[in-house]
Amino acid sequence: MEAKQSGSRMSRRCAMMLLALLLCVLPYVPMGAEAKNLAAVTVAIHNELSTLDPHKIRGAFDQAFFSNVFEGLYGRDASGKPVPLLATGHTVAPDGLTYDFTLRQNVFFHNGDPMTAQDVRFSWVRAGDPAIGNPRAAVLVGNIADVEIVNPHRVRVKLKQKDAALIANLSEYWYIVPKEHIERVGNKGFEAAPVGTGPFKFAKYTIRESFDLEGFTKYWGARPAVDKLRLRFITDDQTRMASLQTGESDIVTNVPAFMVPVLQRTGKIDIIQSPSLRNVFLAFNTHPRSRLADRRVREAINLAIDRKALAKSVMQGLVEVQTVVCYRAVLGCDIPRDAYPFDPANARRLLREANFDTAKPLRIVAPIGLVPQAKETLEGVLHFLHQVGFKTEVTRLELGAFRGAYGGKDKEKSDTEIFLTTFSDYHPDPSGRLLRMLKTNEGFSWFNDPALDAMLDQMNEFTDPRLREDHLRKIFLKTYDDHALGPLWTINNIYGVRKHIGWKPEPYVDWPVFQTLGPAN
Amino acid sequence: MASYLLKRFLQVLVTLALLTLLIFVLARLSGDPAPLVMPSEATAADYEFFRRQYGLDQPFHLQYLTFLRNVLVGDFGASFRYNVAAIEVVGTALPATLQLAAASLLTAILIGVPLGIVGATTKSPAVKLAIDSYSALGQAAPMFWVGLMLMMAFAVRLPWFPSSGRGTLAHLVLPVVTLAIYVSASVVKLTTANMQEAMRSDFVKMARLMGLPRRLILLKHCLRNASLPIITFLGLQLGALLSGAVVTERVFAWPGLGNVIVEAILNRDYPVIQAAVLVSGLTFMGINLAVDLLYRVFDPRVEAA
Repeated sequence: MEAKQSGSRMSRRCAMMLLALLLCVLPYVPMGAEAKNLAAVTVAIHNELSTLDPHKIRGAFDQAFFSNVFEGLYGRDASGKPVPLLATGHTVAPDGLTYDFTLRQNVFFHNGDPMTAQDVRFSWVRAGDPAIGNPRAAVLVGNIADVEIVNPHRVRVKLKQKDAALIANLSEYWYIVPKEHIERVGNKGFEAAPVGTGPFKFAKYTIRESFDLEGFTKYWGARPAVDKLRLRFITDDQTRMASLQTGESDIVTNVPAFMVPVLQRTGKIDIIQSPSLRNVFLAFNTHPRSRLADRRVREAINLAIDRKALAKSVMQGLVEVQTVVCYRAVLGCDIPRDAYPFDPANARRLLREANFDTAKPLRIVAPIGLVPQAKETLEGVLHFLHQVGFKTEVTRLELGAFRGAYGGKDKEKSDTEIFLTTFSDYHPDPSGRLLRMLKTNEGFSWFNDPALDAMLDQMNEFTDPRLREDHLRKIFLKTYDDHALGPLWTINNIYGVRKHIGWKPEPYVDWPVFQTLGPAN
Repeated sequence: MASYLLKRFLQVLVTLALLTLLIFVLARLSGDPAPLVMPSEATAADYEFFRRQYGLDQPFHLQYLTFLRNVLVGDFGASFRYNVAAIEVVGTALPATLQLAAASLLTAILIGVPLGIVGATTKSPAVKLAIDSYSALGQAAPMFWVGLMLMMAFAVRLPWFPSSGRGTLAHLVLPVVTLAIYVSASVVKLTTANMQEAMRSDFVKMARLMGLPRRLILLKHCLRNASLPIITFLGLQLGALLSGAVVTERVFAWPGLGNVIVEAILNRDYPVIQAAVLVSGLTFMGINLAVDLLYRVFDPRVEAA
């Protein structure tokens, strides 16, 4: 009997101990929906931020922050096509100057304020305020004459001129910020602790080191399955890759092509390629003083280069050889032509026909950095040019000097005949890049053709999207036939991702967007 | 002593004034910052706004006078790149640089001086060869290569230390060892040579004849006499480390002053270049003064002179 009682006491004691153990362990056992969340993810990115204020963005390097914390009225789907974000839809008046946007309801800023039409109007006023000094205001908000509040969930945007690229530009060029919050904390307070509507909210920024984000639990859309995200700035390629190999980082951006096999061999890292809109190409100076004003010389250059061989040897095939300076997702880029063939015999013939003085070297300017594998790409191009008889004189410039020369004002007086360069976009609408790359005397254009200028002037005036796409296709076709540029390839964004991470990067942008981040499988 | 300090203080002031002018001119020689700072979409009006905002549209002499006036109240202007006060950018980097420099120098002394003493006193050819080889290799091997090799060996292959960043003591190990190898290699050479010279001195022979213990002769008499060139060298090294161990900071993503200066030059970020160079210049001058004062402690003849 005693033995039985003692046994029962023992089993009670055991049961109590088990229960106590269970209660201790329980808080650490992931349960329900949270079980699927990654607690923390560290990403090593190759650029630092310049600002936390979405109306002071300087370039794509800032978008690693903004595209995860802020949103516009429209964004893009996986094919790059515009889809509603903070709006649910829009209508356009027949004059093409008035757009009515219906706003999404139950959208909250990270401080808990609901997003309303007041915030949309305020964001426009602020983005164009000279005191803020938005360096990108000219693209979109500068063309908006007024934003009227129709009701708390509807705004009317009135344009000064037709802008067929308006919807495409809404995401990165017009981020929506909270009116009442900014009026309360001021611009400096907002810049120190920004508040948006995006899937992640700002937590901490250590200048030149990192910034921390947290998943926003009241996000209106699909929430990323990660609680905390840290983005570290590691500019040195080797160091960034080492941080992935050691597991200090879970994801790294900008994996150099030569590191791809090294990382794959570890067996712990996946390489993810995501298409970008970043083209590498040769810009030809076609102003009257330049020898490249002769179309035959430009054609000879384009025929002299074996792009496929170059892409394979220099970029390990991790790029897509291009027909024109765009990517297939870009509107109008799908022209009925193949990439320029490798035809050195024809190139030599064209040079003879053009009476080109091969004794006088072609003056080429190339950047140090900027273009991935810039030195190797340049050497490859020079090799092919020399094969058909060109002599070359190359100047390699550091980034600031290169941007100064490439975006120079006195293009007619310049002795430079070719720039090896790169161009990207924030979305697949090509109107921004076409203007800046090809319209006479625009920022980075060295091309000079009044007929093309007239076509470029018309491109944003179409109200019918199909007619506009046809028009854009004709522009690309003309640049192909005129050998306006020397396209090489489009780069893929290459990410290194540790195998326990599941992530599908957003295509056609040069920065990482983490909305799809979560555990593998 | 007081008049000496006053004289040195005045020297520092004059040097600082010259340094402000020099760095102001040199920073602007790197070119126009606008093409680097502004996005490709920016218009001519945006460029004009940027230049007006930072006073770059003013004549050169007015820009310099404004800069001087502001520096006197500690305002170095706003960074073009980071959109915050330049001194804040430098201020956030300074603790990291001080930590790295102090730890590296201390490690270099702890390795270099004992090895140097052994190198000067050992009779074993194998030990001597090993110490000489360490000294030669440490000075000859490029610092970025040493850093990368240490990273590959002790962070990637053997996951003992973090590969980059700053935070824990473990983060310090690889950058400190990288720097300490280079600095200690010179300290070894310098200590060995100066110890050998001191050991040949008459007062050392006298001490030996007097029957003083060998350890006392070496550490009290020889090392003290050999220490002046070592202190000078360490002072210069500390100055160089505090102005930023550029290569090491870059390799280990150490958020120090060297990285700040390199990035600022590449970005033509005038306010940060000016703030960083002035701060490191001031630090250098402070260290020089400290070294001069240390001479007086180690060698009373300096005071008499």
